[in-house]
Amino acid sequence: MSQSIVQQSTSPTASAAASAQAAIAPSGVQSVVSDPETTTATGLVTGAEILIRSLEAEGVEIVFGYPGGAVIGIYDEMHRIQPSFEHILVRHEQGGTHAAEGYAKATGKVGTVLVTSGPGATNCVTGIADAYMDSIPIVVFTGQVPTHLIGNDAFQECDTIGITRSITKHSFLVRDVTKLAETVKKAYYIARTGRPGPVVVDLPKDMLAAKAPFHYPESVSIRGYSFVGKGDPAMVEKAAQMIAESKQPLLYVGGGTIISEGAERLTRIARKTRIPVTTTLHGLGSFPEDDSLSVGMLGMHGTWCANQAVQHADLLIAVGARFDDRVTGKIAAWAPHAKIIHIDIDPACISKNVPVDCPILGDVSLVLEQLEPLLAEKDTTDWLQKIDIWRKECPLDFDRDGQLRPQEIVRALRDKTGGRAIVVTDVGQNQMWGAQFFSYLSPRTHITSGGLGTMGFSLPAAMGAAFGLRGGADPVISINGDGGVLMNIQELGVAAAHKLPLKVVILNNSYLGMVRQWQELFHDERYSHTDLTPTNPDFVKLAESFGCVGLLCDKPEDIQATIDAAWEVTDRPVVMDFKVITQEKVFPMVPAGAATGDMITVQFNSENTV
Amino acid sequence: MSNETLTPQQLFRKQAAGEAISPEQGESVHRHVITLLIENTLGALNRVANLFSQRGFNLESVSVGEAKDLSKSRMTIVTTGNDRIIGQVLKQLNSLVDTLVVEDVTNVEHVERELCLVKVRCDASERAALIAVWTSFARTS
Repeated sequence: MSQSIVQQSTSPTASAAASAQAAIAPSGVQSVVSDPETTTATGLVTGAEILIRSLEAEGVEIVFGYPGGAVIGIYDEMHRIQPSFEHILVRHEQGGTHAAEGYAKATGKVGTVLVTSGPGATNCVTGIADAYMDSIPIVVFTGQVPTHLIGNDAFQECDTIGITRSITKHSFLVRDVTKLAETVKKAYYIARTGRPGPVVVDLPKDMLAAKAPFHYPESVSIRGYSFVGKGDPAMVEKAAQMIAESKQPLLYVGGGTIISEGAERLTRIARKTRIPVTTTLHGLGSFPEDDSLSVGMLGMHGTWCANQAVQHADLLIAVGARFDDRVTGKIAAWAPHAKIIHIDIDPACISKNVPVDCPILGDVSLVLEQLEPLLAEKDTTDWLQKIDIWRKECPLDFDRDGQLRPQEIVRALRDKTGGRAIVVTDVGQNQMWGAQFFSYLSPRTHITSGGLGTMGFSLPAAMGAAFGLRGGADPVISINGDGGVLMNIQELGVAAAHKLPLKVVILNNSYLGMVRQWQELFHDERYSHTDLTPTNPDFVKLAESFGCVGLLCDKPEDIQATIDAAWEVTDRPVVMDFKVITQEKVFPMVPAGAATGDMITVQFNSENTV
Repeated sequence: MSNETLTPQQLFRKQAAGEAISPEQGESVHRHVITLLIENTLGALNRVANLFSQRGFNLESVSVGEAKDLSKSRMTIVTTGNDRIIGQVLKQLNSLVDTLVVEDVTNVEHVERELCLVKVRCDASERAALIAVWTSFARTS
């Protein structure tokens, strides 16, 4: 009711009339219309309205938020204006940031978060750090105490800019309401361009109440900020020559390829030159894994085949990848025979961990566009035959002995969807099984927390992805362990309220599985504080209490029926609690700090090659 | 960056290829003077200082003041590290939104001055000798 009254108040007189009505109207209305200046007649609007209008002008579709004292003005204006974007009330600010990340990863757009000051902001820290590590564009608007109270230890005050300084691409504290719209524009511009990342905009409460004319700039220029586009033609030519001369080349493809929309071009190049492709965890989906040139993921839990290929390659072409320690292992022994070409948009990533022979600074997609015409078809038959032997020597496989194993569940999910799904994994064993046993065929179908390794990421990120992809044909699957899923389980209620048909898989081994695996292998089976049995809830009941469907499965012969039943549900999330065996470990494995060639394998069988 | 210091991986690769590793190409650490032009805002100085602790770079000294154009600050940093680390320092400084110009002036002609305040006890007979010493070190007093 309050809304209809406020919407009339386009002139001071109408507003006054509205006030008069409001005086006799029931509760809640007076406060909304008590300020007759809430009008555009003067050309001045509040900072809160400027923020909302700016988000509309920026084309924001969804804001994941949680109100509080410092941002109550924004929520009030949102109630009055009914903006073009949708506000999703999450149940924890961390869930909100992960949802924004999932939305950004799934759609390629910038995710938006709105929270209050103090605890609202600190609860976002994990999500911001996660987005920073994984180069995900999100803009986080945090409330702040009024400017005159900053530094006074005011209620719900914290130094948000200081706390987030080392985990943001950039941040702004708004000290002048006339610069608010421009700041919003800058924030989205910085978050989206170059190597993407999180941007924080801190909004003191008095800035939201202060008034200024609203004008959203068409473009902004930031004199200290620039990013590269095309690569240096001389370097591209050198790379083409190195590729032509190589005998055992390998494409090492990372998430940057997907971010820059270069996956299609990369696939064409690989197929034309017959160069095999290995991807990082974030690179999954940049090259179809059902192609015979794919050797799968590399690194700590990568395939034997991919890691052997790295160790024997004479040329590594790193595309939008950053030589992370989980990829290289012991760096001195990594890729000992390879010359390295590195295509990356971030100058600081070039030669950071591994010195490269041919650095190409540029946007992956644009550099590949330059490179493609310079490449001729290549004969790599001998090299591919070698790779085939490694592939057969140690395939990704698991025992089928009547016990419920997580790998079989992931395989069943792949078979159910034919690989056409968006898989959002959490962190730990479930993440690695999700990466190993689901075949990723196209970009933006695999979302995970790679850099920061944030447990509790999957469920809210899957929810964010599902919001971004509403109406799409492919299901969103959230793969979790029983540890991580509980860390942001509250978002289940949000997904249910919005009728999102999320498929939430819990690979429940009653342990912090990955820590347990390390304890078993490297700490003499001392399972210190990794047993979750005493504190795990009944996940089926938990799901039902949130308005979701809960399903339990504890034997392999029920996997199919469970998944089929879950796929029947289209109007709410389904939680599938798979009681898998505790002992199962992720293999193959390069122990931390070991050389990539020294993998622990259980499926290794040289007879396979005969 | 040209003459890059070898990393263990490069050493390994050189050894594997039977190439000689020249001793000059070790991990020698040098002192570098870097000058920056940054936005004259509250956050800019913080961001630069923070970068050094965040990335584990050495920071020997910092001086900062307003530049001729009052919207900018001039910052001079002395840091140490091998070529690879200094390369990272420069790249990471460049990647900050608030930095406008980053320059390693170590090998460029520049003036370095240090300020030293010394209190000396002496009587009248030694005063002339003392003045002779200080004038040989500095023209100003």
